[in-house]
Amino acid sequence: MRPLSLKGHERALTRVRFNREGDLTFSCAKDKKPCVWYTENGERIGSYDGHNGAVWDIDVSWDTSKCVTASGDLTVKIWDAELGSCIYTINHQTPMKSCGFSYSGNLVCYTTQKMTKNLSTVQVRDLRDGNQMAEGAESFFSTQFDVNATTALFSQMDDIITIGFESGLLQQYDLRNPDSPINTNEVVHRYSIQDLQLSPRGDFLISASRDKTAALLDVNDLKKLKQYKSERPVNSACIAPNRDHICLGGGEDAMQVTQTAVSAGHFEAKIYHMVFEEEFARFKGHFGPINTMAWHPSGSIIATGGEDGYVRIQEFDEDYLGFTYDF
Amino acid sequence: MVEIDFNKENEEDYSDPADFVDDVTDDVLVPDVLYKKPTIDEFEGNVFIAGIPVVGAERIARLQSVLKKVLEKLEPGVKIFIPPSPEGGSLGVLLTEWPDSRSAAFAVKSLDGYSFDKNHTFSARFFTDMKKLEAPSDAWTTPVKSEYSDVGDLWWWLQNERCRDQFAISHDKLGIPTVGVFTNMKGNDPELAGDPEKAERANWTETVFTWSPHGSYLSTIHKRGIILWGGKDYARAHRFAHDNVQYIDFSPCETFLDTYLGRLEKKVPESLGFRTGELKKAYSTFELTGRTQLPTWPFFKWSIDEKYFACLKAPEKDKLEREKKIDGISIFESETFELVDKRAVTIENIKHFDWSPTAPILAYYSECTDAVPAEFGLLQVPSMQRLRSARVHNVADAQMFWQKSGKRLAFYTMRYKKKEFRETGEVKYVGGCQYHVDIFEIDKKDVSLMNLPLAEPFIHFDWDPEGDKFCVLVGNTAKATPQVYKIEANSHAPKLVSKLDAGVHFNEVQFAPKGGWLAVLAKVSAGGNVYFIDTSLAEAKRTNVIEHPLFNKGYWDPTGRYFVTCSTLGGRAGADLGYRIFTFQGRELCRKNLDRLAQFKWRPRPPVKLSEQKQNEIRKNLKKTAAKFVKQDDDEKCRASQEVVEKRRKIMAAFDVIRNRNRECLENTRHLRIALRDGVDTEAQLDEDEFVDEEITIALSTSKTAAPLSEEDERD
Repeated sequence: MRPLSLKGHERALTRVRFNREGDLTFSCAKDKKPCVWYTENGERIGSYDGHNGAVWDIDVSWDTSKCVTASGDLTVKIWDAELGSCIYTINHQTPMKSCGFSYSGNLVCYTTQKMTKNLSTVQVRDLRDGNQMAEGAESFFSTQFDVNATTALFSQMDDIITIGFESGLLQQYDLRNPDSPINTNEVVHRYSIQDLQLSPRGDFLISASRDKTAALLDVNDLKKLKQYKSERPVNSACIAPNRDHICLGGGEDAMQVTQTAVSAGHFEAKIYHMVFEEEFARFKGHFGPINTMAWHPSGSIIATGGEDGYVRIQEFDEDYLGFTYDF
Repeated sequence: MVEIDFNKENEEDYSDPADFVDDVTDDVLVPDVLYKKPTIDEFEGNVFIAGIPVVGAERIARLQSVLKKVLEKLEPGVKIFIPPSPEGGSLGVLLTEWPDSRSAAFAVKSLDGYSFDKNHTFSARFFTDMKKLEAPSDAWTTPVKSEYSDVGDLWWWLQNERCRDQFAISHDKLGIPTVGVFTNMKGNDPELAGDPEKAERANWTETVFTWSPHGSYLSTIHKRGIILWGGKDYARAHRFAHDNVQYIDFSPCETFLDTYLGRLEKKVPESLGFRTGELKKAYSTFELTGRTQLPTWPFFKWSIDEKYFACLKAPEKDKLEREKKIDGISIFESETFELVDKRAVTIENIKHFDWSPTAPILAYYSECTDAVPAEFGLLQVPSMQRLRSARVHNVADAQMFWQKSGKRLAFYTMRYKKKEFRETGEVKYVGGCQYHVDIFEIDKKDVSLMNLPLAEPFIHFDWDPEGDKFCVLVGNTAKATPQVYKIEANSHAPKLVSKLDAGVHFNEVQFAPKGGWLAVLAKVSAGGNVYFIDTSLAEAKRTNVIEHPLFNKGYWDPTGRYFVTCSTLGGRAGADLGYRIFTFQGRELCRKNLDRLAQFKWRPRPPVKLSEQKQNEIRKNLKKTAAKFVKQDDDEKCRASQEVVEKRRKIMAAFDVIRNRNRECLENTRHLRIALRDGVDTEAQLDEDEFVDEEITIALSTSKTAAPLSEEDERD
């Protein structure tokens, strides 16, 4: 089937996500308007207007009632997913690079950038608590870092968050103790963590790094289970919901794209066997690096967002669906 | 004024104290020009001659008169003195004094090696050179015979049951430069050749490795010298101490090894007798070429039988002390390490020469000047007879290509119409250029010459090593066309067999070592295409095109069964370093990406020593044996896949342990998650029956097209 190529953003994509059912696709880009689309036909339903800078991350709650976006305009906004209206705005002194809902959708975590005297922070707020959501309020969980925290997500229910850093470090914090991490992994990646995603069942994490690898991590102790080698920096990686496969994407640095032939840029998404760490398929489409990708809950669709400003919704062909490993 | 006073006060005296002695010598400061330092020589007319007959006192007068007669032929003004022995006889040496340094030099040249009679050969030296000879140190003893190191069978790798070829690579493994020797496994991942501990070693070489020409040894370069490794365990077979060695080169049959030292050293290429490890002779490149830099490497070109080696001769200075162009080749005999016939061969304006791959014949190309045309010629050694030469006017560029069978030599010439000199000193060719390929047929009577004018600019050329075909690549980067020609027995010009599809960025053609197949390469290009062409049929046919973006090297394996493209350090920046192995038809077998891949070298095979009859027999039975090999391949594939399956099962089992543990963990907390989502169990299996299939049809666009007439309508 032909892939859908969605042209709704004017600039490079930063995040695509499906809601839990997979009927809606959420996307945000370096332009100011995050969008929501029908996965089925690629029709755009609408956009969440209100940001005044690049939007770095978008997440949707499990019941698709709320969205959260983190932006370079120094705000994190919580939206009514259906109406597109902004419910809360959280301000900070520096840009926010990532955000996410907890399992219940009641908590929101976000990371802030290090800038001048402000250290990088990871904060969590409770949407139910009016005091925390009021203007100028403090987060109930906040912890500071010397290196930039690039990405953070709730990895176990509403209790534990996993953070990826620019140095390649990975850490897990229990919300009840902001002072010290419960798990740390500093060996698996050598360069910046670009993306962290949870497996659909919640048993593994996958990290994507600029060191040209993606790694499968144990969600309970952050230990490296598998590592997938690519030829180029990896910007995003995701785990298939119903097969032992993972997909990763990235490509030649955006800065060097103009000097590279398309075939040498490795802008393809690559599919690996999750356990055997072997690449067995790849699909082309973007003419710039892939910045973000998400696997549809059905397992037969992957959405990718590229530096080229397109979201591609790719449905797998029979060859892939019928492919099995002998063992 | 105040300012000046202030300065005076602080002025320091930087001049050396009176008793200061500068301890930095010229050797340290200006070593590169020290050889030009003039010297005063009061003995410049004195020549020392050794090797004269030793006679008793009674015959000394007669000896003196005979010697005088010989020497006066060279220069009447010579004075001789025979140092007497205590008994009044001769010691076997002679001191001579010549009127000036010029005649002394002439004397040295003509008397050194002069055979006085059957038993006596002179060796003549300048007296000043004698002073440089040092007495052997007191501690000198006869060198101890070194133990013969038996590294086992040097040709063990040729006995691989499946005739698999080996290759060596050097790359960074876990950040450490590593050299590894692998066996190409046809389709499967290459395996380390031999004991994994021994076939792959970190920091095996400090710079590069090389295979010896027959593949018997792997040589590595170290700060202190060269080591050759051989046998199944890659044990140390030979070691040559040679500080700061930079380049090495083997003679074609692995008897000699040429080495080259650092840039500033003057004593340079050395031929090391390699089986014995004995230093045969050290030459100074400066003496041989008159330059301080090494012009090319390998510096000495060896003839295939190892009897001769040659290099371009040093240019002589003319009367005005200006350097002339190089005008000859120095050919040395490996028996004596002396010039053949004691002199270099004179070829004016020589630019380049190459030995025939089968016989001691030299092909040379001398550049054209305004007055003299360029010359391409064949020189037989040691008779120094010119077998054939061709003169071509207005040659701007030329290259020579020997056929591996030694039967033919092709040379390409770019001929200009008119030349203009720019003010900047550049040369510009006006009115377009013509491109020609000319072919000498060595085995024909009187060496015949064929000419093939090319319609488009020449890019590259290669011979079918054994057959009658060759391929010329013509065109430009945007459109390069490989053309295959055949030389027919009674025709005066090569016949075009086929012109293949043009491609972009092609820059090299390579015939497979056993002929028949051809690879056309677009090295260091974004597309990185390689054409695989079958020329064994009546018409050349392209079987496949592959892509390897930015690859910079391509090699056939020594048997012509596989072709490798690799992208190594030193290629275009940003390329993915690694190699890919293809079949001769261009089917990809294996692909590896390696950090900082520096070298990929197939292990060469020694020449086939089987008799013609036996070879024909093998060819005849090829069909039968091939069936056996196919079966072996299939068995292997089966076995390999079974192994893989086995391995996968193990990995999966190990992974499932973790997976099940985590799932159990999740199962135990499931009730907590349901509670978090307000009692909705989002992990429950969805009941398929509850779904209703809904079909949505969306018209994305519509357009009107006239329905084509059916065949029946047309008939009406």
